[in-house]
Amino acid sequence: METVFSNTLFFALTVGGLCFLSLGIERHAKQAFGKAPPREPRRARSALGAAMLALSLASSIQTSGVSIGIAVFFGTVAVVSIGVALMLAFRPRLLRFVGAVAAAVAPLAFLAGFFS
Amino acid sequence: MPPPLRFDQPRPLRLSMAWLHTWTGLLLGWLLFAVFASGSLSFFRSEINFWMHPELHRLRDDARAIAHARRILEREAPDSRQWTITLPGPRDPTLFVAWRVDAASPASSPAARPQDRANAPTGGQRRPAHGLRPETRRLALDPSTGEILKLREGSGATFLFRFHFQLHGVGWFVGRWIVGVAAMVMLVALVSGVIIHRNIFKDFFTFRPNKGKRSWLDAHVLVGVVSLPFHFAITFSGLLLFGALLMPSVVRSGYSNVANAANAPSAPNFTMDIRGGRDRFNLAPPSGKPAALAELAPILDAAQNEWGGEKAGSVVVSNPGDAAATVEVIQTHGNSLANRGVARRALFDGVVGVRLETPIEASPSAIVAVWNSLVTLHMGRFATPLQRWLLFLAGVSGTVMIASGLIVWRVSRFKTLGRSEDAPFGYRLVEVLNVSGIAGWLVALGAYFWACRLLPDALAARGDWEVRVFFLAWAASLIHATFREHRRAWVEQLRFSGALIALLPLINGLTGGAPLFRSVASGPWQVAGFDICALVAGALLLFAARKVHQAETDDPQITEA
Repeated sequence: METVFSNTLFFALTVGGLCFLSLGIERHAKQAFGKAPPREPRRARSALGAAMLALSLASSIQTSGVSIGIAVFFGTVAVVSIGVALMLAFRPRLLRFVGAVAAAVAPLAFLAGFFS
Repeated sequence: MPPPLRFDQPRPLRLSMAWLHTWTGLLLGWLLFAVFASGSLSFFRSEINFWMHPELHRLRDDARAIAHARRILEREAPDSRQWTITLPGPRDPTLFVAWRVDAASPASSPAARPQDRANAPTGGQRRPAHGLRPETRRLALDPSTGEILKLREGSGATFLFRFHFQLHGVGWFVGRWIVGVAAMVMLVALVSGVIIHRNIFKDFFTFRPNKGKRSWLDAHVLVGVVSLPFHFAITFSGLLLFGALLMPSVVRSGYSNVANAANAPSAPNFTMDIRGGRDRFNLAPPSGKPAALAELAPILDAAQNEWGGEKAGSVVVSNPGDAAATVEVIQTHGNSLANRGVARRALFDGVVGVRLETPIEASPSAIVAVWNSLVTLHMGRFATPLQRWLLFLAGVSGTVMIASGLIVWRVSRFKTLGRSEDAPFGYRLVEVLNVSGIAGWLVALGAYFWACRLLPDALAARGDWEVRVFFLAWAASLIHATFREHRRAWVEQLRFSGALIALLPLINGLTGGAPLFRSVASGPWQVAGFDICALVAGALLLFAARKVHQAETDDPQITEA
């Protein structure tokens, strides 16, 4: 897979995964949506976030090998998590948008990489 | 302030751990801050070193470096049995040539005088380590002309690099022991920190700004938890690197001759066994028949084509001028941690230039692979630019974690201890050390870079003076913090360090370096990167100073922070 597509895929999966994971937490869902959503959609978002994060780890290993892939995954998760926390603190509504964009970009990057 | 812990009564685990976390963290926090900060910068050691040598900023790589390197090596070291050419790369555009000096063939030539070698950025001459690594000599060259560069004397980023594992001025043995103990304490603080943290996953993204102590604690926990794997890995691998020093008996139990390694190079040797690479120093014997060395540029092209255009980092010529000569081309960075991040290699016949079969290297044993993975991660040797940035940012998050932890200690006690006129001595001591240990270290760093550019070229022991300026500035910050009111001291030192660091691009342009407007447009990118980072870091420090200043004047609630 072309490097630019595999990097985009990895980054989109990490950003999307962490956004959805945070939106699965009651306090943050309240910050992003203005009111606490019911339990079921939160569960769904957590599951989606966890799945995207697992795929992001897989894509990182696919790109950089097992050892470096794991290291890169954790490093990126750290940086993006701080970004998500800051967004929740200062621009919580933006998070929904970023999460949606990341979730849309990830499959596109995958397809682009697959057919290139 | 948390209640004092009673050791004569039963107490819950979490309370004991909170006590442990608080006091171990406080005791070694300032040292750990300096170690983490200088260690994070060391991920960019080459780039910082390059910035600190403005006379190199004009160097341009026009792909003729390899021919120049060969010409110089043939002139300077015709009798050497091995040449190593480090090609100009994205991290450092200087061309380095090194040659092996075997006792049997004194290859030192008049042109490589000791003072030239001493001026090379890495010290020029490497002493044999453990009696196994042969002595090498090294020269820095202009990659487009092949001219031997006389580098200005200076401490370079080597000072920051050495400081992060052996401090300065106390001798390497004592310094490494101190840092080793601090790393052990860091592990204690990490483990106890995880135990006392109640909701790692639920609070994973939590940061509540403008809430005094709450915000500081959130920040401390946030940067601690998100990079927890990095903090563990970097601290543990740092200890591992000191393993033979901190636990010598373990090594001695398996290796009887540690002390005598120099006298018995073929005997089992711990360092060589764990790192592998004993074979690197064993040269194939020359045939004794002279033969002209093949052109190196086509060999380099062939290797790079084989790797799909990935760049070569260095070229090793063994037995030059002999019929048994070989040329080995080595990639810039590796693709796995387990084998020490070693790069791909391609071996060529040195006379006719054809590709030779490389013997397949045995995979490292599980023990060696684990050791290699951790140690290589610590040194970032494998890293592509993006990965290097991740390592650096993770290091910065560790630095912020330590700094915010120190501030939390003070903030938690402000209400009970800080309001009174006669605050206890220990409390005031922490206040002073917090300012000079955190903001003061940054002032010293800024002053160090200024000294690097402003001290006169002719100054004797110029590199030592750069280091002296660093410590003088640090000492001055301690005195300042002692005699100023706590909050004023924070604001003033943050402002001063911010100004010092933000002005570095200007100083760079005015003292012979590539100015930012030019380096941004056409390179060198390392200099542009350094200058932009300095601007960003300086702006962040000035912003922090503003926040502390506002908190002081506006909001009584934040004043508690």
